Amino acid sequence: MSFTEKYKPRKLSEVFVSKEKILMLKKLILERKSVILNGPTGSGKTSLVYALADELNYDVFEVNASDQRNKNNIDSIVRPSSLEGSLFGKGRVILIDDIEGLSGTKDRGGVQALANLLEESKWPIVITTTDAYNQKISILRKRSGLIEIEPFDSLIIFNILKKICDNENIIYDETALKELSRRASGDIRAAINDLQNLTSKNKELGKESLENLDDREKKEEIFTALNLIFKSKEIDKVINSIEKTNIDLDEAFLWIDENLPLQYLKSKDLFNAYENLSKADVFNGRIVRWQYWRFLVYRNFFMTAGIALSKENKYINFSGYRRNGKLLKLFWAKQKNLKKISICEKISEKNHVSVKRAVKDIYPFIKLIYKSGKTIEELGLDEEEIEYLRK
Amino acid sequence: MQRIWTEKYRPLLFKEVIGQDKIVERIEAMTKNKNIPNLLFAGPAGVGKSTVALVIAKELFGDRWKENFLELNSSDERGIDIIRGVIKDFSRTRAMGDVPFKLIFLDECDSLTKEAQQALRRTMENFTDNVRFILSCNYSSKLIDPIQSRCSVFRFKPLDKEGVKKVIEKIKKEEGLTINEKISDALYDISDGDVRRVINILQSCASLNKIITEDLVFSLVSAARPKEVKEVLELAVSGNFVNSRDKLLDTMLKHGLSGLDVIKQIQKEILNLNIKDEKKLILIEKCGEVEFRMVEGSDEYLQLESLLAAVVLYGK
Repeated sequence: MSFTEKYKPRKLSEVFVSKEKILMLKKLILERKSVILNGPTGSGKTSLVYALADELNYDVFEVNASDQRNKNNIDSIVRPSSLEGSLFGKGRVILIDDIEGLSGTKDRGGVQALANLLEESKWPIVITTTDAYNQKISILRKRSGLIEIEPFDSLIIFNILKKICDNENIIYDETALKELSRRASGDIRAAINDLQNLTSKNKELGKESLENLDDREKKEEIFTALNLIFKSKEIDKVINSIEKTNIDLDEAFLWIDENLPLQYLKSKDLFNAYENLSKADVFNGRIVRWQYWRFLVYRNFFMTAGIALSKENKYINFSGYRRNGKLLKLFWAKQKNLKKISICEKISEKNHVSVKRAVKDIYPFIKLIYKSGKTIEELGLDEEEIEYLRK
Repeated sequence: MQRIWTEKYRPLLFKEVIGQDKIVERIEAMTKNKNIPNLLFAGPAGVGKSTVALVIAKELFGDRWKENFLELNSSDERGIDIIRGVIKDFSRTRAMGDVPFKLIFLDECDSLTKEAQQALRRTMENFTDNVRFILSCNYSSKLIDPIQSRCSVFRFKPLDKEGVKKVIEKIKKEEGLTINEKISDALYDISDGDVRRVINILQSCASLNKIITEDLVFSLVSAARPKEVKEVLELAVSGNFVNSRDKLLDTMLKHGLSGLDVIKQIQKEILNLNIKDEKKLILIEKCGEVEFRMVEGSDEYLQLESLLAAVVLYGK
């Protein structure tokens, strides 16, 4: 039996959601209103609904991604059970689990049918989603309450895992268990699954077990693909090099971009290769813009065969491949820039200019003034912001 | 209280506005008659578009100008829907005082998409009874015709040397600065007629020293402008692609530069490179192609990398 099933909270007292949110949900359900639970994967949305239904002694009628939720099915399956009374006069909750599964083509009209149902249903309808602000379901949002479910704190995950270990007689290294909890980034289901996978063999979680979990397999896959692209010129092999792996094109693109200049040492080769990578990127832009996915074929071609054929002669040197650090850098820069943006918002307010213009034209001068030790009280900057400017 | 000089010295009355004499004359007359059509102010940054809009509001509504004047920025507000919502709320109530309409100032209109402009145009029509719009933009050609045709268009020009010097003179007197003739010439050259820029430079100079020297001005101006882009290019010319592109990413992130900001600078710098003119021609062509690809929606950083690879190849 899977741990996730075995240790699923069955009672409200076992659920890790704040009291006030539970009360909010309870109130809406008792008033037979519909509600959207918005929260990341594995934050316990579905379990919450079941546990609450258990407490209220309600039945749960669940429709999930494995059922097709097109207009017909909504009307023929969900609708009747939302209108009719239940057996033995028990209350009922209709749970539409993970509404994202409602794909554009297969579940056509499903959202609209569901929206109509929200108005008519005799029973409360609960919809779970990881993206309540998606345009596709805006019509549902307008007709329902919204409760935000937070991801699990890693400490809570740690405590849950610890209990499971004790219960299953698993020997664990505390640091490893902490690391495992942290890596789950708030997804309790993933954490429990990882724990089960790692300990299934010998009921032990040691320090080195986590390495197995790491994307070791993935790395090998991408290295093989990169080898084909950078070292060979056989177009038919190269074309499928990425498709054969589990790596998505975006990630592969970053790997290629990062390692290209380390592999192609002649500037003519490098120039040609970047020309082709640039073309692949142009097709990517067109996919995003026109939502025309067949362009993927061309993107893939230019970033695989295009790169392979850009070299005049094969390179035989071997050097390892580097992971692309761009995303991490972007993340940190964004964190750093938050302060700058908040300063520029204040400038913008006082100075009748847009934030963008404040960033470009005014901020550099304000910074110089603060660096010289002067302050401009009018801007109303707080201590932290002033310190940031003087740094 | 220490203030931002651009606000401290922002004109409050029509007669204080420097430059744009003809425009001010006509708008002042309209304001006196309390008869204002929708207005469109086109022109570069820092030449008085927002100032004139604010002066109109203050003249029309007196002390109650803040209640009757709504200032929105197209490039910051998230999308036309939000703008429309705010406009709707604002125009629901009648104007206070004896002026029959309120004013909405919508800055940087040229950053709106064509679709958003269509929506704006309908909004403008729906509220003609009790609202007048003042739109501002850098390039009127970026606005759709129906909007242009609903507005009286005023084209603001960069201030001339005389105008910029007047501004400098005023601030010099009020703040007790020492600025000689040669330095105010230099300030004008740097400013391209952008008064906001001149005043910002003056304030940051003055925060260091009230006696303003040419060295001080130039050191501040270059400190406020990232010069790393030039170094990125030089690294590429020397054949060091990896360092060049790393420096590029760091520079873009550090200064919050967009790909287009960078390529504008690169394009200018290419002309100064120490390579054959024929190669400059090839690089400029590549520059144009990369800029085109960016505008079309490609990844800015990757496109710049491909440009750097070209510089490595042709820079030799």
